[in-house]
Amino acid sequence: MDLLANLMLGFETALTWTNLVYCFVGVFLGTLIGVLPGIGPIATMAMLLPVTYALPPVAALIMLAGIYYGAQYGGSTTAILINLPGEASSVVTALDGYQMARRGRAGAALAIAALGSFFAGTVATLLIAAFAAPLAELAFQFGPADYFSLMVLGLVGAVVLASGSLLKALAMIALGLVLGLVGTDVNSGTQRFAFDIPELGDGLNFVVVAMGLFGFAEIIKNLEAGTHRTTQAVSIGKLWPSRDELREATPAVLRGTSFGAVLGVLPGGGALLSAFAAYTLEKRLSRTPERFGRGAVAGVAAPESANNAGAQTSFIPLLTLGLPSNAVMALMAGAMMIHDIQPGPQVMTANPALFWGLIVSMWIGNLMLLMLNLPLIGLWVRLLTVPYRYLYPAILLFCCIGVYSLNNNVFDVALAVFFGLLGYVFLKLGCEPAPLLLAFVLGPQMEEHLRRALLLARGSWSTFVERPISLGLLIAAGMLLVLTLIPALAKRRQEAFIED
Amino acid sequence: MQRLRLSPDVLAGALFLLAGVGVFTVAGQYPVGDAARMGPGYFPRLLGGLLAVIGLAVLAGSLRKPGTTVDRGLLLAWSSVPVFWTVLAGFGRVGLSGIDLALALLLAFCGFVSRALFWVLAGVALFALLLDACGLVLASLALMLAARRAEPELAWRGTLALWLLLLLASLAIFVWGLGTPLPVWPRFIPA
Repeated sequence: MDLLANLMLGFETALTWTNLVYCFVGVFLGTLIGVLPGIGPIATMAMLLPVTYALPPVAALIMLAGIYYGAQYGGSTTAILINLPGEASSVVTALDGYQMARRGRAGAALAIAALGSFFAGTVATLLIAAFAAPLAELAFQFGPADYFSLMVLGLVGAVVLASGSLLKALAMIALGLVLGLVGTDVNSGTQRFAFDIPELGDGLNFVVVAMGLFGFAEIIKNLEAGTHRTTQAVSIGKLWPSRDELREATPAVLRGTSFGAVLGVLPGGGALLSAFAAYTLEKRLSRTPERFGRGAVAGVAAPESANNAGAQTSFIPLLTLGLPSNAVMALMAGAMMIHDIQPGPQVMTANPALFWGLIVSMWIGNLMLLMLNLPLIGLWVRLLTVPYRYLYPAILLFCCIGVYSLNNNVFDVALAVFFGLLGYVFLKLGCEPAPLLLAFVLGPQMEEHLRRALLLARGSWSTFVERPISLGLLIAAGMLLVLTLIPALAKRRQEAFIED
Repeated sequence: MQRLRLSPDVLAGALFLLAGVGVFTVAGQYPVGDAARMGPGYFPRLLGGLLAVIGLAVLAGSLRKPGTTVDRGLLLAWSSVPVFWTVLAGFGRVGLSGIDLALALLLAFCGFVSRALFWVLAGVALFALLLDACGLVLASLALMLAARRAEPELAWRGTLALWLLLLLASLAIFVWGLGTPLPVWPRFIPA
């Protein structure tokens, strides 16, 4: 049993004291920022990325992954208790979760959300373990042309995920690719877009871009919007769900898990998309759709398990193909590169302990979350009463120190100011920054694969349609694009991504 | 704030068009090569062209839905983006670091846009400016003092208490815990 041996190796790695501690730190921080609105997993992970320099790579990745799925748990807690989704992916949970809470079933809603998430996390972990090896095997057959097309598919997926105009999202991708090229060209040594500024010679740092576009711009947006919070928490009530509630939740959890797991793997997918899609599906399948929005148990169970499953399976394309499927995975890719690990199929063979350790740590992390979340609910709710005017200076300072410690250079901090402004302008112009970030990470690789593919084909662009894998990927990308253009679907897409 | 009859899409389209043309022009200075042997200018030129075309398309699309407006502040913020890059690039060419000047210009623009935008970015810029010479102690204080202006509610005493708390926390985490080589004290005070 290869799988068993691999999982054993994973447990061996994940169960060391250091890794357990960092796993705990990750899920704890994740829950914390999930609870707090106004700071998301992307900004937090970017902030902590420099900190992970000092850690061994396994511990660093385990912690960062923990932040991501921890945030899903935290986001749902506040969504249920005070109708305030801490994360975008728990917006739908608030619909029915808060209604359950108002009927005095807050405890049951929280328990169902936590148990559903844990179940989904377990299944997703097994799925990664089962599918990672064959997919990586497949990835070894990929030529440069196939990789290029794969990245095209990934970027198109990011467009589908972006809200608002398709064209603007495409432009953001092109802009992100260009920003990724800033610095020294590896092939010729030419300094591109560096303008003889020595600090730009090594290229723009991923953290600088992410911090500016997501961290600073987000703070400014929150300050401008003003934070009017009602922190009237409802009483939690009995934690254990009734037998009827369990009966209603079980099939919803199963459907949510499978749906979320599939959507998480797709390029552009992840927690957000999975939660929305699972909720819609559940409402459609229900015999009593009118109960949705009024405290339907399935309306909590399905999206909660889907977002957790999606959050986890979105690691599959990163770990096997080296393709980050959303902005958070782009950050994980950045973290791996910091530690000189090129994301891709070779991770599994070259670094089996890291690969399996990370996967098993996700399951352990989910277990920790289950035990951490229910008893600590009181603490999380109290945290919400900390006013934003104390929080944002803290976030700002830690962001600054984080950016500085990348290269111990204030130039990066100054550059982050610019990206903060850019993020603000994008926000006001309705341009989603997530596709830009993804393209930024993929830019250099994409150029390299394009270069190699065309070199092998002696300059003939038709190589991209002649190779079957590449052709298939391009067709898939084309279909995704066409799908978003169909008016009925375009409308639904807009509805699904309207921010709270 | 005065509002102008200009849709956000016009600004977005123009920004992309401008960036596209800029990228295309700058990339033209690098060897382009051909498809079989791509030079360092090949892919950027491709992207620059693509960006410009999409920018044009966004502009064209914006003509079809008139009536939306943007405020003048946004227009200013928007226009500071190319200004920043031009100054940064221009000074790099003559061998000077233009980042301080570019930042100052950028902040001057932001001052007209919104209170939150200006004071948040000013705080970070001050931090960047002061850290090397004055150390974390003073740079973080400057950051706090600027940032508190973004939201008027935070009182003096609260700001100072928060500063002390955060300073201690960051010293504990970064300097003592992780050994980050952060300058802590001002250079004029011998450690």
